[in-house]
Amino acid sequence: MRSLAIFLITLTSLLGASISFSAPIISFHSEQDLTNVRPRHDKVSISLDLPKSNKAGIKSLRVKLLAPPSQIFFSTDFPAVEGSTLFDSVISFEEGSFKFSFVPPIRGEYRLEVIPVPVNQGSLQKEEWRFKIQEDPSRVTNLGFFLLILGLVCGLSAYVIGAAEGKKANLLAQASVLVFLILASPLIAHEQHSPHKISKENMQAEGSDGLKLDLRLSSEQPRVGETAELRGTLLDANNQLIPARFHLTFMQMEHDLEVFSTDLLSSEGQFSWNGQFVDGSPHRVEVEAFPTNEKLKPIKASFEVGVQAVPPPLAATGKSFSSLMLFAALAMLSGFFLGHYKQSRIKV
Amino acid sequence: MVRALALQAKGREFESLNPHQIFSQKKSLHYLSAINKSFKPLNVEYQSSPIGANSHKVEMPVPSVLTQAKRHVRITRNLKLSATRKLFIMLSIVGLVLYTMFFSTMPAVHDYFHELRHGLMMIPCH
Repeated sequence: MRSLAIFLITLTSLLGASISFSAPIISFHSEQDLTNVRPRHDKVSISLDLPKSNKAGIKSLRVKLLAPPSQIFFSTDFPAVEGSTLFDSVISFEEGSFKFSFVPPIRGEYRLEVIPVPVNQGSLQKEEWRFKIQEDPSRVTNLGFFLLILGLVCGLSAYVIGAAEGKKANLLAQASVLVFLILASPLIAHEQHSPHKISKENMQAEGSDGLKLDLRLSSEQPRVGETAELRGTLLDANNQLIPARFHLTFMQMEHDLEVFSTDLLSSEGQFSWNGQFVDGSPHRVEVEAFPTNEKLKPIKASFEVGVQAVPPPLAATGKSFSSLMLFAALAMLSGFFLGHYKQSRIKV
Repeated sequence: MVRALALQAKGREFESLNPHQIFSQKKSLHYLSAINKSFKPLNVEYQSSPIGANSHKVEMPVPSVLTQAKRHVRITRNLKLSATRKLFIMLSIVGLVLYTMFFSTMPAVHDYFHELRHGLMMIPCH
């Protein structure tokens, strides 16, 4: 009887342990209302926290953010980013909190995967969060207006072709093409993309306390769709690593927009960040190190890097072009039959 | 003058052709005459540059865009095409314009329409 009671107690405690093990350990929190975030404009700040009541003893986290996968019918404006890894890094989680901010490049459902690494050997269950970013309403309106103009131009031309035979029809059809070209011409241009390689001038910074911050990027010219590793070390005058908090900022220089920022705590005085530059234009990487020893002054290093643009894949181009052509053809067909029907009624 | 000589040459070629070729040549002559009708005689003055390094060059005044557009309209008005062909031509022009504006990777065109591409939510860019 006694042995049965012990068995039952053991079983219950084991079950309890397994339940608490499978329950989410880390909480996900976003500062913004994600339904109002516009891709390429607004920043999303996400924090991963370990509740104080939880004593899981997590040493570090492997954090992975995945971009939304491709859609069947329409491409986004960054097809190379679709389904790719935005960042995949192992970060220190000794303080029980990790925050990062990023500007979502495209619409769709993002996936954040976190694998906690406990202090003791072994690994905990992977945790995953999904959040959806809606398309910018102004861009939806733009597309609507554009399709309206395209539909009107195509429909009217075809209507004229269908309604009348002879000189006037040709003239009007050409005139409508001309109107389309004129409408398209005064659009605002932007600066030409110039090849911009990494500038190695400011990758090392030296502070007044003899501190040295050294940055390294794994690629001279990273590509859109692929991650590049950024490494940084903070050394004192005796070339010893100094524990510090590193503040990372990635700026997209074309629009002067901060596209990513995070804080990485390192008791070893060095960090590694494996992330992607999602736009094929020059970026500025800034790293500021705040030594844990408050007597030492913060030190900042930065550099500029040109990101290699990737031409859109044929599938993405094909999807969007065929959609537009299908719309134009449908508008023309409806215009033509409308004109033809009107002409036949007049004849009758 | 040049055009008249070209037509004469065309006539000589016409005599030595088989019936099938004559049919296609007749068709092309029809278009050629349509084009010919639409042209007004140009008062082009051929100016040769002073004797020197560029003496072999002949400078011709370039007609304005409006003149060229008027000619283009006149040529097309004299052509007789079926409605299907007109629709096909129209769709091809629309396709060409759309492709150039939104899908071309030529730097000059791409950079000019870059912001518009991103503004339309479905045009793939880099």
